Amino acid sequence: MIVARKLTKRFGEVEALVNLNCNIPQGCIYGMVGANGAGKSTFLRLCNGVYQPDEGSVSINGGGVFDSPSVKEHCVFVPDELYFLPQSNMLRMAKLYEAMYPRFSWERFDDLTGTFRLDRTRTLNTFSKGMRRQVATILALSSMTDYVFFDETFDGLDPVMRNLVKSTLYDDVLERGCTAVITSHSLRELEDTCDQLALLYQGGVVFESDVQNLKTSLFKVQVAFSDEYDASRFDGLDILSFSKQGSVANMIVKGERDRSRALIAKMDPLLLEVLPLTLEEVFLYEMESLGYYFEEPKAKGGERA
Amino acid sequence: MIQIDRFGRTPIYEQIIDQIQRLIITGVLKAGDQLPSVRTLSQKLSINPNTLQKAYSELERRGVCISAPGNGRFVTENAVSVIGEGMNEQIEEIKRIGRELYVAGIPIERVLEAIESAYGKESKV
Amino acid sequence: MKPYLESVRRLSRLGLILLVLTAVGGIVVAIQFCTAANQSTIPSLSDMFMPLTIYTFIGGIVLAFDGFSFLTKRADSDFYHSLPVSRRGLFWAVTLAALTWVAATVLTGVIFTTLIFTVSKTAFVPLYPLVAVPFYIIATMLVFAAAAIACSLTGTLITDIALTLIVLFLPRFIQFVIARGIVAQAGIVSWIDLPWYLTPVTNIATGQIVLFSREILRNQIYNWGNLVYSLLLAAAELFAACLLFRRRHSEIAEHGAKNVKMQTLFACLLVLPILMLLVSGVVNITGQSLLLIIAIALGCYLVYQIVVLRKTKRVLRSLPWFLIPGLMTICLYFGVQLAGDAMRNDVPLQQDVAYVEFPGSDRTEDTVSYASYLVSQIDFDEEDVIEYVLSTLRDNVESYNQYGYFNYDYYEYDSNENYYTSSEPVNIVLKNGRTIGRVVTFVNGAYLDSVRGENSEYVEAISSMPPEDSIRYCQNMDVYDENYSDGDQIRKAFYDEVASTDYVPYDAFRKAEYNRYDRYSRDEMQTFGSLRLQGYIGMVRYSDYYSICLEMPETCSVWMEVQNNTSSDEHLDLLQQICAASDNFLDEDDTINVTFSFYNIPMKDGSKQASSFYYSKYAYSDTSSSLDCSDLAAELVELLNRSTPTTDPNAFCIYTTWSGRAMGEDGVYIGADAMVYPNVATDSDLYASYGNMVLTSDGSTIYVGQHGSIYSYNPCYRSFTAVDEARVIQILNEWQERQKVWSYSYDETDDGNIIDENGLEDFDSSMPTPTPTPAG
Repeated sequence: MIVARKLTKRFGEVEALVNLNCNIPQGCIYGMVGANGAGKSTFLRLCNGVYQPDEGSVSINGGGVFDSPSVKEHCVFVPDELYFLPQSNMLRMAKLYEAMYPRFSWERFDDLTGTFRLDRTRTLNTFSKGMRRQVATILALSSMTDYVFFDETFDGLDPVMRNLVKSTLYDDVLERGCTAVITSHSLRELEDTCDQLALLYQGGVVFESDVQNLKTSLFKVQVAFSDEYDASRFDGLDILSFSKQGSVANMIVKGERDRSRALIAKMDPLLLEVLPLTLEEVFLYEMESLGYYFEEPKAKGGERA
Repeated sequence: MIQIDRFGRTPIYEQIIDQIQRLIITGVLKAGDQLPSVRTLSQKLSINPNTLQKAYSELERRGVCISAPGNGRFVTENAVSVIGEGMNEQIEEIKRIGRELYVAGIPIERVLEAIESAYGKESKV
Repeated sequence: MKPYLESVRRLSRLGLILLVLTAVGGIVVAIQFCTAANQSTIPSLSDMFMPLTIYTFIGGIVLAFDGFSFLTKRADSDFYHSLPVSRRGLFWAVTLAALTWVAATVLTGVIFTTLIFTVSKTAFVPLYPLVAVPFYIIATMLVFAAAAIACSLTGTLITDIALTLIVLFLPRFIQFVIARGIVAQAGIVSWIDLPWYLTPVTNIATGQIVLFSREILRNQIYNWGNLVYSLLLAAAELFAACLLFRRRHSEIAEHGAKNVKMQTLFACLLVLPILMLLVSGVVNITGQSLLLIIAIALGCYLVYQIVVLRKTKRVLRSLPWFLIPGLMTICLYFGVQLAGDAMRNDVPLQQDVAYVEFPGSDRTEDTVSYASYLVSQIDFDEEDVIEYVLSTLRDNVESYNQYGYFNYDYYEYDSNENYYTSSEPVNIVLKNGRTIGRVVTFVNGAYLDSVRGENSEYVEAISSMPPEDSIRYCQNMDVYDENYSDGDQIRKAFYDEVASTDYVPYDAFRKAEYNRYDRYSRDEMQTFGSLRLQGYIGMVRYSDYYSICLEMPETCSVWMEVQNNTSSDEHLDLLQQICAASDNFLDEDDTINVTFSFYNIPMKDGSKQASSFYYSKYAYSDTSSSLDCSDLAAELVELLNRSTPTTDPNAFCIYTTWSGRAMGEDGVYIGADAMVYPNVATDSDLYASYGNMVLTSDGSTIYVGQHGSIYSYNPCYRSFTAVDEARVIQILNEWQERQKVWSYSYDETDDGNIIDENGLEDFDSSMPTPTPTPAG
């Protein structure tokens, strides 16, 4: 389990993380989303012992991470800016990983490399950016660690590769109780893959929740009545947003979906539609209710109407 | 057997629950049948195993299935009736659809016909 | 273990390249040395392993920068810091990997070089390769450690380089400046006599660079004490670097030190060397020079700060910090003056002295004299010696204090005494263990020798010849024995004779005779030949030149015998013919040059002297104003033709060398078959000064040197019959008379070159008239 308490990190005068608190339980796939500069990469680096916290702490399985090989051998990090030894190929990098990670598995490495038909002896700087990302992911997964950290990794993978990585990850989660922390710009992506989600904003976690809860506790209601009405008719409901055009009203309601629906149905509307929200919509409205306003993160691929 | 629509608004978790329940209702899964393992399903559908676990746990909570540790999950004897109890929503849904049909001028006979045929299908089985 | 192996692999690219380059360099240098035409010196350690000196700096810096290269880029740095290896582990993995490559490279270089020397049977000191291995490994790691500190502190290549240079050189530079100032101020202290904390070569890395400007330290650098010190220093620096590495923030990669404090520190360090000039004694402190240097330093400081800090306000605020190097300089300046004076005036009392040592004035040379080496090992506890040394030191110091330099006028000379002044290093060892090392100027070297002669070890030392099995080169008679051979007659004769007499074969320890300018031509000092021996004892290479003089008649006889046996081309008959022809040379390039060297000429004062008489004639020479002894020469040559070879060094004998040519009346050169044509130069060669130009058939031009001549430079020692000998002596008498007349008249007519009466008198008295021995 990863625990961050009052985690603070500054770079000169810039505060990247301020009093960040979060709990990442073991065996979950934890997604982190936030605008650029929100602190996602900084958080991941703190979890991997790259940075030392200025204040507060981050611990994995009860042990502090920084400069602690016994803790770090359980973590592997796939950063946004990849690093490979100069003039190296996959084999060479695998040897480096094998030297560093005690549970490195050549079997899995061969397996994954074979599936993607990547040439292990070809110099890595001749690979395309996407392929390099694949390589980094393969190396990380072959390290067989209990904690894997992906910093915007999935954003650069094609769907086929993404699925393979995910299924390998799921295997690890099931078999070994592996925990994954993924950051992304795409809520779409995270929605599919993660079961825990957090929103980072200006150096702190403003929202942390189970994905399922997130999606089932908010819903959109489209309702129409023959007579005049306004929001006050729905006093029994926790309404986050209400807008009316003509006789049709659209509102975002928080609460239990079935109960709320039954409540409205009793009022005998002309039209009643209850729809689940996409994660993006959830976040947008939650933020508004908390008083934060920010740019809607762009969804990559699979943009929905 | 189970299909996931990633691009719909419905959460995957709910889709799993709905689909399992539908399979039970339609008799594809009978009482005592073993539900697909989390592992197999997560691999096949490429979904988060935790999500699956939660869905299965919810089904278990509802009494639709029961888990035998080490052996997997099995459909309970009264799964069908449990599911049926949760179908009030569907009744309301019929009410709503009925109103729409009424407003649209569809004769009630046609509606009844449709319903009878659905039930008829069932009784023929 | 695994991170270590991984680092070795990672460094292998550059490590291997450097290893190969160093090995190849070592091979090339060794081959060059071993195949040189006239092999006659045993190389010093730094000459033998010169490529390793280069490797010390290049290898140390390159391996450090490559090993810690991940610290200069963000992505790299983050990656390495995310790996499950402790910071300490990572640091030592890189360091030990570098050490592995350094050790491999040094070993390879040393082994290859030593192999080549061994296989080609070229002489070398076997201890050198043994010392070279730890020496170069430690030196390279010292450089590596400095670079490691720099890499751990900053995050860009440029700042890494700057900081490496600062860590490596600045402390030693300051120490060097202080030492130089003290040496200059004290006046009688040499660099070798400085206490260990002021000696530049305790750091064997920077010490190698100091050797370029202070060669006198070249033998000192290899002391085991310096190796141990450097090893400890390297270890300390590495631990410091490890500490800094562990505390380092990964995020400073790609950033130099941005904050104002660090930059101001850099600026202060930058101006320190400039201000140090004032301390070193290089610059005379005048009002002008002081202002100039301060202005330059301040200027550099401001320029650097402006470029780096950019804001004028910040620059101005950092200005007061400039005072710190300024104050340091002032303190050091006065400190150096005081220290220098204190050192100079530190003269102990006789009762506090345990003994003195004489390290030998050749201790600063590449090789030492064997006797010098032996003498340096002796502890002189004789009261007379100590007393003389102390009193001379006292006088030196007083003279220095009074005049600011060593003033010979301070001393009262006894005009009857034979004074020989020598400056010698002296180590005064006190009873409490402290050693005072000074360079003392002894006015009466002869007295010093006599007083040291009270020590029996000394007496034995100055008559000791090097042990036979330690000799590597033995040269005599122009014959280069590349490998010391046992059947060497002359050397054996010399050794035997030295052992059987108490003759001191070392000129440096026979100062009593030094004052005489004619010392090589009188009686026992007449010299027939020389012996040159080179070898080594332990780490010390010795090289000695021994005169074979009449003091050792047996050896002289052997010399003469060997010479006579190997003589050739005397052509005495041709000499006679050419001399005859020299009255009227037919060809304009005809010449004759003869040197008649005589031994044991009996002089009026009873002594026997060696002297040479020269006869030369050119076709174009005008005899009117020059000394004309052709008739004497001709007669001499005639007598020469009747002489017989001799091996008696005590006899009156002659050694004649000549060259010349004359065209015979028949148009053929006299002795044409025996003529030798020296270097022919073609038009593509170097310019030949003069000679005959001959056009060849293919159009090119060759210059034939003027002297296509008969060369006779390998004659026998010859003696005459009694009658002939008497005649020869008469001839010499006549010759000398003519010389006197000629030089007198010559000097009188030449305005610019008048020798005064007294000079002529001296000339006269030093050349007493040879007495003809009675005939029969």
